[in-house]
Amino acid sequence: MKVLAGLTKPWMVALLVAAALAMSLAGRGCSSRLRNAVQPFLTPFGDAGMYLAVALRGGSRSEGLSPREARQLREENQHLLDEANYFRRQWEEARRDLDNVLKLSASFGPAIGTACEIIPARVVAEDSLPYGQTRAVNVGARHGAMSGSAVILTDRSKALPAGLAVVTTAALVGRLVDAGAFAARMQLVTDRDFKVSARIRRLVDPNRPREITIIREGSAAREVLTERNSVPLDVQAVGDGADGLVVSHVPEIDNVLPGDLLVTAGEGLLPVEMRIGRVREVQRDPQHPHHVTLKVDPEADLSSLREVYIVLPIAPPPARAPSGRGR
Amino acid sequence: MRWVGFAILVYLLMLLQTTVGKLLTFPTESLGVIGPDFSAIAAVFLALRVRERNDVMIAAWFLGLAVDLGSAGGAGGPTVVGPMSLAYVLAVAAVFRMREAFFRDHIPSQVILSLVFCVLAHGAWVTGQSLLVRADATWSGYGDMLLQAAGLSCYTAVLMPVAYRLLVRCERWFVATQPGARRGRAMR
Repeated sequence: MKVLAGLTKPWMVALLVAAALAMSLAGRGCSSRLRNAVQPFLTPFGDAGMYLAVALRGGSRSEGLSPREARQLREENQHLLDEANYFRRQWEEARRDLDNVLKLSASFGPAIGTACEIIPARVVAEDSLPYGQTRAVNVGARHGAMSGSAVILTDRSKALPAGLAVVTTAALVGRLVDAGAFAARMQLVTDRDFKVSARIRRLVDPNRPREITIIREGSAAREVLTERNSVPLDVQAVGDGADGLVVSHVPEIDNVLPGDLLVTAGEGLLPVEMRIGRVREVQRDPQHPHHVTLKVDPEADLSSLREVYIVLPIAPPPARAPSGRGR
Repeated sequence: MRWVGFAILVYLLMLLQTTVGKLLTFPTESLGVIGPDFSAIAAVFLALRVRERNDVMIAAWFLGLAVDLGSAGGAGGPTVVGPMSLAYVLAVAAVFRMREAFFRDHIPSQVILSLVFCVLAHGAWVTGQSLLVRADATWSGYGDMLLQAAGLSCYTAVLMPVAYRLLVRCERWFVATQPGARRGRAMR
């Protein structure tokens, strides 16, 4: 203490500069420990702050509808309800068939499925600088969270106006990059450094038929995409550093369209297939002829992210059937 | 400087910047996400209002440390703690030297000085983090982050005059009253 008391301010500045240099050169381990030590002090008030931020973001988005828009929405809603009823009947039939197959499979086939621990967590802080897309969550290694685990947003209910259904959504929102004792840091799917093996699932829509080129035994043929010939396309998705993801080098002949789904590949980060986002835009790649670049919107609303689940596989996932087409 | 009050200010700024302050951020197609740096605003405010240079530099060091502790991503993976403290100290020293040429209560002065501060601090931080963290750094990635830093600097500079007026109102909590100035007013 005497030494500190005797320090003059210029010496103090010099010491602090030296300390900053030492911390910079000490590397990520030291930085990670420092951040994990500070995060618990921010968590209680950060939680309140995030609650306020999410509430304000939600409030700022609620806009009134004109009578014309409301009428259009009612008509569209009725149309969708009719379609939903039709598909519900189809689905119930298919589910009965599937249940029968699963019962047979469980009785006579090998055990399948992936054991995972689901750890509920809450986002308590965002990045202080806009260069990265990370979030701090209020669970850490003591709760079982480990660096590298996937973070999903699942069964998140949103309140809607009276009379409408309550919808749920399930999507991958990021992965843990750092886990301290009481807090962890998650990297969002939109971060520049987020990379994930994924698949494109092309939607088969009878109202919007599309032609694809299929290569069988060395010869190419043009066919209309159907459930039968629609194979998922294996791709690599990376965050764009702003509000979406980018998938590069997708062959033009696969005819991916806006609205198609980007899902996890069912291996590595998350051992099940789960939605990541939806294709917003398909752009020609000037560097690579006959290839396109896909801009993907995340499935979850990342700006108002609060309740998330960390998926911790506790058993190795089963070997994946080679159903996708590699790139 | 009143260091206890200043510590509370740093804590509040850190909370603000990592939670409610994100309401002011917006994504752009060309620059990425743009948001204000409240700690930079506080550092420029102190550089304009505090008499002693060493006090300003120590305060800037802690503000930079808070920013580094609250941010983990951006330059090709988890970033390291420390470069922002250095960058803030260097930038605040430059602004402290420049302040004699400006009228501190004029809006253009505040905008220009905060722009200079942010360009220096964030430019240095992006460069430092790219060198320290990124093994596979590309010039285009580095250029993108510098552009984002330029956008952040402009946005922070635009917000500076409003924040300056707010900080002046609560200045007495973290800036010691200058005895000379008080005597001067009393004599008048």
